[in-house]
Amino acid sequence: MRTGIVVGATAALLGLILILGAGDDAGPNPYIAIGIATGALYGLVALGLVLVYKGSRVFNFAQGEFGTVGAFITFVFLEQVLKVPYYVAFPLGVLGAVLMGLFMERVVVRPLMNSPRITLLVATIAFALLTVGIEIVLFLPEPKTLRPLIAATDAAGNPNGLAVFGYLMEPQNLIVIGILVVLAVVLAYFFSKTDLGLAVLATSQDAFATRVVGIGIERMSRFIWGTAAFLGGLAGILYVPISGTLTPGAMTTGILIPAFTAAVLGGMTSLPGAFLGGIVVGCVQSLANWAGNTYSFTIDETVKPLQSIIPGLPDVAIILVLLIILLARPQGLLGSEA
Amino acid sequence: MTRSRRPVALALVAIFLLVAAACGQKPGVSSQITLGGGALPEGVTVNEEGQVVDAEGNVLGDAEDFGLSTTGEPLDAASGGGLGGTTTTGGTSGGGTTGGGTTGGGTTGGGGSEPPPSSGGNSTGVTDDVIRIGVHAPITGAAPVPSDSAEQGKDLYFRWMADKGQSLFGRRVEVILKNDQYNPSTAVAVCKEMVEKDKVFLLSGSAGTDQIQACARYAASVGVPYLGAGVTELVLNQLPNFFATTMTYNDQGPLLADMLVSDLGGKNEKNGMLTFDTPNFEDARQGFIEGMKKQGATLHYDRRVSKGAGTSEARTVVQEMKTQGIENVYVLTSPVWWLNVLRQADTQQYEPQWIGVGISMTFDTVASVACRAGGSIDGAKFFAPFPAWFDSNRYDPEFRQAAEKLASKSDDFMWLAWSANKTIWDMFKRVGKDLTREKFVYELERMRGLKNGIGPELNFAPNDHFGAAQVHVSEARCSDNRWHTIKSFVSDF
Repeated sequence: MRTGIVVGATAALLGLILILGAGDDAGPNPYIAIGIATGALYGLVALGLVLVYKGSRVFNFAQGEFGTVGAFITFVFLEQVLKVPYYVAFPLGVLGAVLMGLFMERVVVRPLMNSPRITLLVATIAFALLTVGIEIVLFLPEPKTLRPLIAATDAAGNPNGLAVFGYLMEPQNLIVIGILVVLAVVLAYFFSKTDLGLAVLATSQDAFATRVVGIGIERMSRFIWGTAAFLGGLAGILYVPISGTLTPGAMTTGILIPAFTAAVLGGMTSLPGAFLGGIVVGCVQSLANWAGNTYSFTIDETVKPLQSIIPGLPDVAIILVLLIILLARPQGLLGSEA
Repeated sequence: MTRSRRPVALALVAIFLLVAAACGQKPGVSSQITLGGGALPEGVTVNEEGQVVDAEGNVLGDAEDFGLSTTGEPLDAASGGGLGGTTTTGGTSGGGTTGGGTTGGGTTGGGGSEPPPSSGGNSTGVTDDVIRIGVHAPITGAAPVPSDSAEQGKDLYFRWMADKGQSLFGRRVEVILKNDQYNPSTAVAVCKEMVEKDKVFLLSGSAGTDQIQACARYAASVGVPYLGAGVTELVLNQLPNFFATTMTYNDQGPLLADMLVSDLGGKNEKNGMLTFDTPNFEDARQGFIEGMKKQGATLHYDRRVSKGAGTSEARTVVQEMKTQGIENVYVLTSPVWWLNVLRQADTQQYEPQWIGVGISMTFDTVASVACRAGGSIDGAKFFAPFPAWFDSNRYDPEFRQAAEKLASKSDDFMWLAWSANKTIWDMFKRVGKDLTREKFVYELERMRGLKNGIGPELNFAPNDHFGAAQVHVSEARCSDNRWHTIKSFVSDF
C-alpha cells in the first residue's frame, strides 16, 4: 500500500513535468528532441549490454570500452597513420572492437564460464579498467576527436540536419537513430525467429542441456561477445563525433551508466526494450534539465532555480523513473524471462 | 581501567601543548634584522648599480623592489617589504620544528609584525646538493595534460640551469610528479605520498581548482609550503603555507567584465555565465557578477551544471543560450565538457563570443580538438597566467632552446611548467642557502617584485599570499588550431 502511494505520487510528479515540458503555443518542447537524440546513444550502448545479458546472464562493464577502442582505432587510421577515408577507417575500428571482444571472451569469460556470475561481473570491470590503462599508454590522455560521418553544415554554412521540434538534429544523430531502430528490429527477429538466435538463448538458460543436443557452447559464447563488441564498437565510433571528445575511458565514464539504466528500464532481456529505455532515459534527463532552469522558487527571499535547490536534478529524475518502473514492473518495460 | 586513564592522558596532552606553546618564539627574542644594516640574508648584497644580488652575482631585482635605497638603506622600515622585514613585538612562531612549525598569522592575519624564524627549522627535502619538490597534475581525468609533456616538462627549467652550470648554492632541484587524476581525493593521496614517502620540501600544483585546494589544505596541515595557481580564495586564504602564483578566478572576474565591456562591447549585449556547480567556483562567479554590475552590464543567463555533466547537459545549455540569444558567454567548467558544449554549439550553428579564465582551457589541445570538431571556439578570448606557447620566444627564448636540447618535444604544458619552475628557482635564490620550510614561508611573505618575464609579477605580503595581479589574454584561432597571446601582463582594460 505504502509502495503504491510512493509510486503513484512520484509518477504524478514526473507526469506533471512531462506535461509541462510537452510544449506551448510555439510548438512542442525542443528538449524532447534533445532527449531523443541523446537517448538514442544510450540505447545503442544498451543494445550490447542486453545482448550479453541475454546470452550469458552477465552485466558487461567492459561494453563501453569496446566503443572507446573502436573509436581510437578509427581515429588512428583516419587522422594519424594512413589517413584512409572514413569508409575504410570505420570498418577497421569496428573490426578492432570485435577482435577485442573475442580476446576478452577467450581470456576472461570462457575460463570463468562456470564461476558465479558475480565473479564474471567483477572480471568485466577489471578488464574495462585494464583497457582504460592501456588506452592511456597507447593513445595518451589528452582529448582527441573524430569528425562526423556527415558534416553538420555544408560548405556554405547551411545546416545539413533536420529540425525536430525546433531543435536542429545533426546528420550524425539521425544516423544513430536509424541504426538503432534497424538493429533493435533485426536482433529481436534474430533471437525469436532464427535457429542461431534460439541456440544462443538456450545456451544462456541451460548450458548442459544445450551441449547435450549438440550445440557448441564455446561457439555460442564467441558469437555473443563478438556481436556485443561489434555493437559497442559501432556505438563508440558514432558517439565520439557527437560528444566532441575522445579520451581514454570516454565511453565508460560518459555513457555506460545511463546505458545501463536504459537497459534495466527497458528490460534486460528485451532488445527493443533497450531502444525504448534509451529514449525514455534521454527524454527524462533532458526535460529535467529544462525544468531545472525553467522553474524557480523563492527561498529565504531569494529566487532560486530548481536546479540550485535540487543539485543533480537530471540524475535524480532518472533514478526516480527507474525506481517507479522497477517497483511497478520488476522485469522492465518490455522485459520477459528470456 | 581504560576509562579511568583517559582523563589523565588528555591532561598530559593539554599540558604538553601548553608547554610547547610557551616555548615558542617570544617577542623580541630573535635578533632584529634590518634591511640596510648588513643583516641581509646570507650572501645577498646591494651592488654599486643599486641592484640586489646573490652570492653568485645573480641580480635578484632592483633595490627599490625590496624596499631599499641604492645604498642599501631601508626606504621604509615599517612597510614590511624587503627581504627581511623588521622585527617588532607580537607574533609567535607556531611550535615544533619538524612537520609543523608554521609561522603564525596565516594569509590574512599575519600583519607583518612577526619575527623571522630563528636558526634551525624543518629542512626536509633539502640536502647539500638537492632540493626535492613535489608537483601534482591531472595526467588523466577531465582536464588531462599530456603525460609525456608532464614528464619532460616537470623539471626542464632546472635541467637547463644545471646544463648551464648554475645551481642554487650548490644544489640542484629534483621534481617528483604525480597524477592527481583531476580528483581531489587522489590529489590528497598523492600529496601525502610525496610528503611522507618522497620527503619533498614543498608541494606545487598548477591545474584543477578542487585538487589544488585539497592538496593545499593537506600541505597546511603538515606545515609544508604549497605554491599553486590562484584559482579560488575559498579556504586557501586561510592557509598559512599557501602562496598563489597566479591571479585568482575571483580577482579575474571584474577584470574579465572589464574586458567584456571595454574591448568586446558587451555592455549592451546579452551576456551569460556557464559554470560548474562546485563551491570552489562560487567566489569566481561572484567576482564576475560584481564586475558586471560595476561595469553597468547585465548578466542575462546564469547557469550552473553538475561536474558530472555530459552530452545531454551540453545540448540543453546550448539550446537555452541559443533560444535566449546570449551573445557573450563566460565559461568556467572543465575543458573536456566545454569541448562538448562547443561541439553542440557547432551543430546548432550557435556562435557566441566565448570568454573565460583558467589555465588548462588555454592549452593548445583544447583549441585543436575544438577547431577540428567544428570551429565554434574560433575567436574565444581567455585569460591565462602564461603566454601562449606559440608566442613563447617573445617572452623567454631559452625555453625552446632548452626543449630542443634536453627534451624530445615542446608544448604549452612544458611552457607552463617552465614558467612555474623559473619562479620557484628565483624564490629559492632569494631565500638563500639556509633553506628551511619556516624560513621559506617567512621570506616568501615578504618577497616583492618577483618577475620571471613569463608569468605575472608577484608581490607577497604577510597578510596577502595571493601575489599576482596580472594576466595574459589568449585568443583561439582555428587558422592554426592554437591559442595566441593578444595582450600581456594586463591589470586593467
